[in-house]
Amino acid sequence: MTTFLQLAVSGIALGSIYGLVALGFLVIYHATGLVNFAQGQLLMAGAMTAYVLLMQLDLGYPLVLLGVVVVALLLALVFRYGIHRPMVRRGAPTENMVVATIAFGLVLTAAAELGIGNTRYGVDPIFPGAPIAIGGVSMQTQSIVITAVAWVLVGLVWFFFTKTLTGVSLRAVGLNRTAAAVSGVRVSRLITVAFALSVIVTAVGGALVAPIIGAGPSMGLAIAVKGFAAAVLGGMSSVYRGMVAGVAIGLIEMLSSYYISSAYAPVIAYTILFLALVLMPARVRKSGATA
Amino acid sequence: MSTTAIRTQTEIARPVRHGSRRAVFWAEVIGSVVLLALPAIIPSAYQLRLLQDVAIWSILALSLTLIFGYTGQISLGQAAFYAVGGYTSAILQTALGVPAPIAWVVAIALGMGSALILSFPLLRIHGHFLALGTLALGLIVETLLVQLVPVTGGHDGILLPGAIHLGPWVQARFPYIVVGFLVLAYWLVRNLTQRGMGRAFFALRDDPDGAAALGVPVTRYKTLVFMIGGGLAAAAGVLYAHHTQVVTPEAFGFGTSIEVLLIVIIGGMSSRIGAVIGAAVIVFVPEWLQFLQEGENLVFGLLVLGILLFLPGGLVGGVRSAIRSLRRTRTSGEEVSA
Repeated sequence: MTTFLQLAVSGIALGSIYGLVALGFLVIYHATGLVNFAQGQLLMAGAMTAYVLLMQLDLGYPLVLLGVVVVALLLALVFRYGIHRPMVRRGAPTENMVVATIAFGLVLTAAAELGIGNTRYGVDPIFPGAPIAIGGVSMQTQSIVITAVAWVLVGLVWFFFTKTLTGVSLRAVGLNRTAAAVSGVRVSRLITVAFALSVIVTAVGGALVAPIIGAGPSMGLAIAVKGFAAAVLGGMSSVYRGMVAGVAIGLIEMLSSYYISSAYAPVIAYTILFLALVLMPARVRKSGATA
Repeated sequence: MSTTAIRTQTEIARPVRHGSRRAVFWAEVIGSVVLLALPAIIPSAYQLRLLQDVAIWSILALSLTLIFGYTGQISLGQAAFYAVGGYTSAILQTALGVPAPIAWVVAIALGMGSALILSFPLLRIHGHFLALGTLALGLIVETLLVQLVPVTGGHDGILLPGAIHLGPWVQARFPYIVVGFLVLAYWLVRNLTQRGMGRAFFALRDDPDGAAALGVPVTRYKTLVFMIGGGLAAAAGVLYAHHTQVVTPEAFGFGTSIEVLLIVIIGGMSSRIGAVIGAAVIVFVPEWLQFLQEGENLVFGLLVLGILLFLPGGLVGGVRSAIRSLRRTRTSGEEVSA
């Protein structure tokens, strides 16, 4: 039972990160209809930034988080104004946009390999020290931090989308761009806001997860695929459903790798993604095809 | 994404004009003959090796060009079928002692069969979701290659010494087989994408509903293309296994699926010759830029972004539109003088 609870705690923590990736992915998807395949590499950028600032430059965690947000903001601007907007202006078809996000991810990975080095680096947790034990279940502090911060971020994003004028306008852009523009919404600027929000959330997720799984140029893909799986499993719709699906995937992964086989645990996550896509209701599939 | 927006970019894929069609045909014939003769002309073993690299990547890229470029079904898991070909052929020959030609036929048939079976779930989804689905598929296959150690040999892979399995005589002439396969693959894709069928492919890519309304059997064509693409990728895998004499999971993973995609984009998305040109770029550029070593992916990533932004038809599309604009200025000049 203790083992089970310990696995559950780390599963929920890891799953919350998958949920954050799903969240970042859905924010761009809803605003523009673009599926961003560079989401995992953006998470990697967050983790690597945290590694450089924390381990190489010896900055404190508040500065590290600030640095991660700044880097994320810069990447979002490059992504939006260097790639996304020019391509939309040229009327690029969906497939080209997909390839462009993949190429962007490739560039980020290659840049990290060249600039920092192609290994998995260890990153210190926010609160160093021994794991805390509650009722015999010992937990890494970082797991608790991850879960708490991830859910607070989701709450903030929810607040942004439902209670602020910018957030509501952004939802309007996702629903009907022309109608939003006619109502005086500055569509282009809001899409940039969506990109910034998405990249910041994902990069912070990377900084959070780095103390547990390390930071390395090739860490993005595995996490991104589970994030995509969470988004699809959550019906590509609301923020919290993707989060719940992410936690579910994290739990399944942790438990199956312990009780079934750690070698085949990734296959289970990939199969979930495959089945969720194929068995997705036609309504969701159609909305994706036209977006 | 409106259909008009799509058309502006796929304009590059317009069927060749009547007058130049014959010229293109003869260029293709001459090109094929030259290609078949190349292994005899090339003196050094090193260059011969590069030629085979280009040919194998070209076959793999042709499979994706057919699926992605011509019918718009984006696949991020083409390496899965490549793996089916390479591993089936290697396992049959090493573990079961099946003669090479039979193993090749079985491997290619299995590639087509698995593509056919997978087309039923995969063709239910479109666009980004298809990209995600094929990505998941490729990753499942990659993980299985690493983990099913008794069958695949795990990270060590399977050794396939050419002298034993092909015999020294065939082994010495293997480059001819590789370029022969490329020529066959090229003409297969060419004949499939010519005339009415080729236009039906473009139609179902740009507007599936419209194509269906005009009587194009959309699902049947998509399945057909998927199956042939799977077979071509498997054939490339078969050749790769003999070329390197070993199959390991790294060669058949996500990186390979992405590299094929880059080849197709660099060469030109809906261009047969673009697949070959793209393959040549991805093989030769790292050879020329030895000093870059690790920066290779950075260069290719930036190159692809640049092509997507400024030259969406790839290298071939760029040349084509340059020729067209030359021709246009010439004809308009004649009209002025007349």
